[in-house]
Amino acid sequence: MSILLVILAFTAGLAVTILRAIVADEVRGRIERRISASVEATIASLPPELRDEWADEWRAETAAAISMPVTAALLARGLRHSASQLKGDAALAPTHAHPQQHRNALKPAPERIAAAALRTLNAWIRRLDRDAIIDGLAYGIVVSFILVLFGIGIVIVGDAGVFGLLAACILFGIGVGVVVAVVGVDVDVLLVLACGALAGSIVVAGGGIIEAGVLAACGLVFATAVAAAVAVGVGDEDKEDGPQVTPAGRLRAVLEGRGDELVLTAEQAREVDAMLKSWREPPANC
Amino acid sequence: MTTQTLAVISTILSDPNTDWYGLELSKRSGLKPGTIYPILDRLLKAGWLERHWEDIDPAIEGRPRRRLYRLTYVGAPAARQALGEHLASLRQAEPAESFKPAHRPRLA
Repeated sequence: MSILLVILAFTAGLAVTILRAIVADEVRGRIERRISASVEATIASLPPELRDEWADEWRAETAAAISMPVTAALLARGLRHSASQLKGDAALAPTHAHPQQHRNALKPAPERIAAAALRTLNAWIRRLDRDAIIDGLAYGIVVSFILVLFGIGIVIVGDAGVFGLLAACILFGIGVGVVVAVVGVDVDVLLVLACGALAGSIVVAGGGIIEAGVLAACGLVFATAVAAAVAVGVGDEDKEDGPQVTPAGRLRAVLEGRGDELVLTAEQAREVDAMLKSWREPPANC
Repeated sequence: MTTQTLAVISTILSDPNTDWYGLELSKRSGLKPGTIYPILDRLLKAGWLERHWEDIDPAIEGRPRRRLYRLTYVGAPAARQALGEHLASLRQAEPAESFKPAHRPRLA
């Protein structure tokens, strides 16, 4: 009997190990494929001359980093940002290669922004940078808040059965709603968080060893899903230019290294003008 | 010149005889990968940097060749000068920074 148990335990252990390896390879493969697809999409979005210049280098960097999913995902995001900046630089390149020629040739389409306005713009960018840091902190705090709610939900459900479960659902509903409204993070990520937490609460409501095992599995899936979602940036591919291409990012791309006088296309000038107005004139509800 | 560009220059100058690749420069300078390539592009166009493909056999190394960057003969002294000027301007700013009013006025 004891030999049978040892054989059974060994077989079960082996099966779990193999299964885990298969699942891990599958997840890693999917993440790598997604990252590669993201980089290829970024490269495809470049104009031909920039593509010739950067495509091979970016593919090589991605291939070298692909075994580290988080690093590779950050690189893929970064490359999207780079592509945007390089496109902005390329659009302005003739202007700055021959400033004197440009001064005579491009009137009146471009508009000039003088040094004083540039200082204002730079101050505005610094303020946006500070806000971005605060947003990042807020996101971390909110995720922690959701996890705490998850814990509270489990405790309540453990003590109060169905009513506790209901309370946990309401708490999560409020938490998710607040996060979406205040921080505006990806809804997909929040759904993963909320579904995992809710599944955990439901299982805990049943009690018992089997349910505990299922809860552990749910926790594993939950943690994996969150890690994968954060690593590959769930929902980013739905946005036109990626999450880092904010108005401030575009503005910074235009401003960096431009000296004391900035020449913009008419469209860029209108965009900058709109930004400055929105900054100087606070919303009515403030 | 932006502080980010200065960070890249400073990193390269920490070992000017080394060939650097983009991701490593990004890590060493503490910049995001998204920031590094436009800076490298501008430094290349300014003639401060030159680049070449890594001389390895991808089949043996098990990874593609990387593109490596190094300072040019023009870029090395210019980068040192730019960094030196920046550090000097920071040193000049220090005495002013040490003067602080007892009660800072609250911003509206």
